[in-house]
Amino acid sequence: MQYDLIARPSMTVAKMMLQAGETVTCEVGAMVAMSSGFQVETTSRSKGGAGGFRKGIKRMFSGESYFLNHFTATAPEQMLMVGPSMLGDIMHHSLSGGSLVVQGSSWLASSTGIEIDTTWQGLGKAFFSGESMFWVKCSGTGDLLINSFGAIHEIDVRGEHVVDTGHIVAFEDTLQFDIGKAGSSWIGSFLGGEGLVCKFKGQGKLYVQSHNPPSFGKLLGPKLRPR
Amino acid sequence: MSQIFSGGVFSSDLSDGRAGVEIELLSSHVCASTAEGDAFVIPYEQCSVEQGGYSGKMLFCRNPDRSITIFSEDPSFLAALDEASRGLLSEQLAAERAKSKRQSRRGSLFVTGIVVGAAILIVLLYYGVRVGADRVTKALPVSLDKQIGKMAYQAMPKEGTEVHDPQLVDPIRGIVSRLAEHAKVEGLDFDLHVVDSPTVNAFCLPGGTMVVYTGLISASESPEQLAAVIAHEMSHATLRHGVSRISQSMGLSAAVSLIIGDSAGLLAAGEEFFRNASINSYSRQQESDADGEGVMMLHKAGIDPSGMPGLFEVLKEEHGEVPEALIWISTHPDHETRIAETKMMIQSLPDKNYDTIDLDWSEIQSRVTNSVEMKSE
Repeated sequence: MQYDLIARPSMTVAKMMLQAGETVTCEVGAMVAMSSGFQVETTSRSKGGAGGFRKGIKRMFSGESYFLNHFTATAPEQMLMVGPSMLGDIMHHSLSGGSLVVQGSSWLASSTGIEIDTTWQGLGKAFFSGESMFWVKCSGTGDLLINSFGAIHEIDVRGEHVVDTGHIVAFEDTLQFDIGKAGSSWIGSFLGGEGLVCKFKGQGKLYVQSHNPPSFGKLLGPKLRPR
Repeated sequence: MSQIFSGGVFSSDLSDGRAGVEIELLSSHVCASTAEGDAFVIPYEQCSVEQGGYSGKMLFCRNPDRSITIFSEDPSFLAALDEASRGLLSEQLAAERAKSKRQSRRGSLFVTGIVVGAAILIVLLYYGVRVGADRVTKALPVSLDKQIGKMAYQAMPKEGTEVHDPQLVDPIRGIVSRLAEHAKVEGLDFDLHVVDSPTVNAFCLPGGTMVVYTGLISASESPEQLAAVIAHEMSHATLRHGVSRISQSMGLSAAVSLIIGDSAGLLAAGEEFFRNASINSYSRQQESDADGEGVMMLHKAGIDPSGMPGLFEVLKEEHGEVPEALIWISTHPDHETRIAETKMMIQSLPDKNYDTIDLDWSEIQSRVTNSVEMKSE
């Protein structure tokens, strides 16, 4: 996948150049603009993959759409521009075996070798992680485009790392993820405004976003006039 | 023959730092080969093992300087590694197994805790709000009862036309005002409406708006019996049963809004509740309480309370089958119990000389017949 990320980091869109026969799977509604030489197919399963109905339903639980859009170039040098609905950055991650666990609604596009599935966080984590109940699990070999709210920062974890709830974008499956308190005491953690945090352990890449949608919503919501 | 597992490797020698590999467990070492042909080797005696990853089931093998990490999520990888290393890693692997077991036990304990805690919280919240709403309603001014009663009376369907014959209505109004002096709550207006209907019924809405059907007047053998029913119904208003019922019938959100001081929901629910002909849907406990309070009111007003069990006797004998028209009796606890209970209450009262209600009862009852006849003409 040949791609270019433009207008980073706040209004990023991905401009991809596809060769004849090359396919990219995108989130529903992500397409901004494209050349005329594309065949667009909408299904509930990965290109050439299985799953269909069940995987579509699972995807809905993770905050993604039931359907997936597959863009196949029918002529050489076709341009496809995709962008997320929220303001923010896009990053590229290449997978060669293993999986990347992505927070719901952050998956934007991927090449055909990537399987998009959903994975349950576990009850405790689902309640307190500040994310959707389910994660999107991308596995296989190929390229992935992930979007965030605000800028994306990549952290190479070796040992332990702490991220505030709501700031996780994605992490490699080699990282163990737990919910814990921010400070040494429960009272201090909550008075400090951090409350619960996500703790990562192990080795692997972790992507965090500079802003988090729930906090933004809480700040903005009360100021909006009721319709 | 050695088994092959799919997994991955971390190494600074790789351009991306990580690659997907095929792992082979050989006699002296674990070997990981990438698709590009790079091979990474860790001898078993140098291997340090750790379980982790997103699933918690991924097994990592590291060399001493941690420059190479070979990992796999294959469920049989742990057992195969144990076997291939011929006991060299047994201790470490057993410790990791125990750690993983401990974690999963802690996890399930945590989940059970959350589920049980949430269930207890929901139950406590539900009853807390119910009890809280009931307390708050009792503390609200009676003007709210009046408002509900008036709104409900205007909205509810009438079973017949209102009777305005002063010779029929005034004596009954006299009984009502005699009882009203002994009402438990001050500030209620007992506003009487006599309605022409064969229904043997009477009711009192919150705030004191009262309806007595002519059918009840005909069924009562004496003014004391009618006074007993009136006293019972007035007690529902003085004990504020209506608002209690409404606050209980309200949804949880309306109850919460009531607790935080917004009574608009109560008013709306009240109108709805009483309009839907739920006048008689008080609880058994409320009915017994109203019987008790009714007997007390009669006693204080100097009216013979034995009219209450007396009327029950009449209704039981004359209408043993409890026909449709006898709503008053049919929606109340069974009359045997009520006769026994009210009789017991009366016995426990201090002795008092009751004044008979000085009315020509047969004359009044004939007025009922006349008003019905007049209507049919």
